[in-house]
Amino acid sequence: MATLDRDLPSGAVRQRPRRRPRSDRDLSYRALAVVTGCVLAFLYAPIATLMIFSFNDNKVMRLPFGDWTLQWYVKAFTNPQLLAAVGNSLIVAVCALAICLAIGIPTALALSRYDFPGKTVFRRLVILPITLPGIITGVSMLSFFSQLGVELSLTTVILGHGTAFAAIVITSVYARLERFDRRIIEASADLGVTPLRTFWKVTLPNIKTSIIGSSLLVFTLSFDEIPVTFFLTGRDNTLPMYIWSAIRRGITPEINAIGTVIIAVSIILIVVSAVILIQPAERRRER
Amino acid sequence: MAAILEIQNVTKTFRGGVRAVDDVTLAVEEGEFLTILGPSGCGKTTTLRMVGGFEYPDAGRIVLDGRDVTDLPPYRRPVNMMFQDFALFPHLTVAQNIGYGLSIAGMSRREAAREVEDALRTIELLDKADRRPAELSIGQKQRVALARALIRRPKILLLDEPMSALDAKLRESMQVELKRLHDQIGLTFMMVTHDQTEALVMSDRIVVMDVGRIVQAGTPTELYDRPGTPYVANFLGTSNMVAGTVTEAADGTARVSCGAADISVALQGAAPAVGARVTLSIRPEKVVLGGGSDLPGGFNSLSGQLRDVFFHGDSVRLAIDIGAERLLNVHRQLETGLQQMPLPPVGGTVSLGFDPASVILFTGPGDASADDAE
Repeated sequence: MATLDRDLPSGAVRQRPRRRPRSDRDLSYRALAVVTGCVLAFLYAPIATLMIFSFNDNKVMRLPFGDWTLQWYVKAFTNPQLLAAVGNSLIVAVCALAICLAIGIPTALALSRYDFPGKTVFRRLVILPITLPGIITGVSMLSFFSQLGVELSLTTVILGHGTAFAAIVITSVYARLERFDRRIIEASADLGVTPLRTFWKVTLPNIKTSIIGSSLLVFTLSFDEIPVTFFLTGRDNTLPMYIWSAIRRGITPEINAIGTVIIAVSIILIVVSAVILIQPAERRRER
Repeated sequence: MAAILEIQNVTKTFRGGVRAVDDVTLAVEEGEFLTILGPSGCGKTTTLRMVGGFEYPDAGRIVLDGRDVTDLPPYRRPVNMMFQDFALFPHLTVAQNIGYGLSIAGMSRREAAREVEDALRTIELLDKADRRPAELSIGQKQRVALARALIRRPKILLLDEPMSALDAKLRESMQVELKRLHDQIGLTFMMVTHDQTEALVMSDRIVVMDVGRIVQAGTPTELYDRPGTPYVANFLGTSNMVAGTVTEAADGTARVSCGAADISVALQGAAPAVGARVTLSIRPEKVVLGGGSDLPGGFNSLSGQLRDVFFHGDSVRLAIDIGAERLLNVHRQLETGLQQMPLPPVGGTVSLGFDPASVILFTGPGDASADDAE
């Protein structure tokens, strides 16, 4: 009894905590639901609007809602400029991602595995570009390329995105490497496996999720990047640049349609990656 | 028996100038169970890692089975290590973990699968073949790690603190199991530990290390009964370290004045000079209670004041003050209950005695407070 009463002020009468009446609890649940709804609406109402209007046959985005139609999708997919822009964006995103992985994975490995003079400075420097505003990266690369006399094209955009986003792969893979037990690398060597094969058989499977995760992020960021692209692109337009210039003539339902397609593809990508990443763990649990 | 491993004058200094291993020379006999024992930071693990190939010595050679392997990387050495905390591959199943080393060895898939199955049967984890390490208990993980290290039939099995992750009960049964395994397969085992009980129970031979050097090597009984330095006496088991001054030394015995008590010692080595300051090591379990005619002839007979009684269940440890700041710990196995033991109350006087032959004399005031096992 003494220990039970210890926390009570002297003279206080011990009481059972009063259970809240049921209606009270219902009320708080309802309030929570309302708040949650508001947050979700805040996040998704604009996107939902865009998606809904992409199926509306009004020429301008205005209520009342007209008839359902797919004509904007047809228009979008037969617009050669728009299709070229989508193609350019895909090329840029894929190539920039390749550069980020080629730089990022070895850098992360070096940072986590070796001690070398100037390591701290090096780590800060390779991660810095991600904290720079895109406009700074864009302007500086623009002046750099023009000093070198390099003509602006998709290539310069790719290089720009590569510099801007490599740090995402580095930080993500580095964080994973720091968390995994380095002795399993030694165990692999101990069992007669060369360092290169150890990389494929042990290191890579253990950093796989961080590579896939950061790749998705880099791909998405590159796909809709504007500031760096704005300074570095030549005659070719990427999709965000095309949309941006098209919008100056007013938001057309065609753009709503292409936006909806991008959202759908993004959701599919996210679901697929989630399945890839989560499945092994799930399968294990089931057994 | 021939030496399967020779470590010759090996020195290793880490960046920052820490000399982890300092001119260590050691030969490991084929088939023996050798343990390197020492506190953390004594260089034992570094020595083992150099045998495995994970560290390279700055000086000296490592010769394995007649072949100089000093500069070979781990994946070219015919030794395998069981790592502390096991270092199992988290992304592979139990069977894949065990078979990992075989897939490289140029063995056919079917052969490898059969080997793995045999190993799984031996460690009684056949039903867990498709599990991941994360789903195993600590004891099961350890068996997988052991099977993985043995499947390539190494010339030496290296064990880095193999029991440190286990709880006390499991540790005891694993000690027995590993020892039995060693006797069965006749492979050379080289283990590193800071646990003196583990070393005493399992080893054919123990090498005690301190600050990068070998202090003493010998069989467990040699080291326990004839420790060469106060450090070894303290590290293996417990010892009462009593400082004193030599008053007589002749005919293989010496008399040492330790404050209020006079203790005679049967000398093992050279006689110390009269007047020299020495340290005596007296094992707690070698001391018997009682005085006068209770003691066998020739025993040292002392009396002191009982300070404390520590009950350990099957045994009791008494702290007895023999005067002048000297405290003797006395260990008694309890055949009957503690109540039946004829003990005075704390603060009362007790008589005790011990054989002069069980006392070890170290010249020099010694460091009676040498590090105890962790």
